[in-house]
Amino acid sequence: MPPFEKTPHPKPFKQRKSLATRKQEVAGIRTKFPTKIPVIIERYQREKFLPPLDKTKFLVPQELTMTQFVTIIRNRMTLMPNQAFYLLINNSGIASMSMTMAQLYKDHKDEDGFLYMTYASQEMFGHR
Amino acid sequence: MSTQKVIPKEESLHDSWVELHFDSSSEHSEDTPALSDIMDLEKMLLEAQRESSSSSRTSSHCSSPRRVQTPPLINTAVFNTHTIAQGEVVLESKQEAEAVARISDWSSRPENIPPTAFIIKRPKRNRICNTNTDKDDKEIDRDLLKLLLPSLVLTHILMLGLGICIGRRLSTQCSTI
Repeated sequence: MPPFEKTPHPKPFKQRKSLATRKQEVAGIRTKFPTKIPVIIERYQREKFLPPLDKTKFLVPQELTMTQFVTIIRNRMTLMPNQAFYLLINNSGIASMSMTMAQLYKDHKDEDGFLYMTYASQEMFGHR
Repeated sequence: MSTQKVIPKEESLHDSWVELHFDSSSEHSEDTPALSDIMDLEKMLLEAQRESSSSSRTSSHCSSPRRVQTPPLINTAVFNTHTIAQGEVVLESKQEAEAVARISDWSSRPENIPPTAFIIKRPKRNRICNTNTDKDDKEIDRDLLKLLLPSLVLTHILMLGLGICIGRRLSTQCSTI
């Protein structure tokens, strides 16, 4: 709790690091763990209900499906069953829950090599 | 000097990442990398413990709460300061700024890794136990059927035989009277 009180609006991952450093990081991680996919999960800017995650960088097995990944994240945040939780890819779309992480990475990876996801509860649907 | 700089970067890379392990029994070839990943995790945890123990000493000197909240990165800052002392004034200021930025950016908490691993593993084991019990129940039912059916057939045949014998004896006795 204290760090979030003192820094209420932390910068997104892209703004914290330059493109070159991010590319180097992805290259290093992909060489060490070729079967894992680097994923950046961040909180939606206008989110009000969901708690913040303690970490933003995840190494996910490529055969994992979106449903399994969502359940893992829900367990990490210890959400109640009645709390809504949606994972948005590139801050815009919701992927099919049956797709694997490898397919998502192939289709939606960023120029720096990371797969960016944003989590939100409800209100993101009507903002665009 | 360059090698000293590279090492803390690798440590920081390992510390900040969250690895998700998924037990896929369908492919055996992936079992060995899982084991290697587990070994890597153990090494990372040991390094984190060492860093946290050393950082507790340094935290007494540093009063800023951010540094206390990210114990493993303080060691990297210490390494950077050592390298900075040998460099130029301009480089010192730049590297110090970079070190401060790294400390504020990275929010790694290695202490959180083991409970999440345990939380993920426990329900899977429970499920496996449940499936085993279900299979055992089905096997027990089949065994009972195999035992019960022949015993029922045998009892029916025996009772029929007894009935026929008794009938014949009764008929003979009636004829004699």
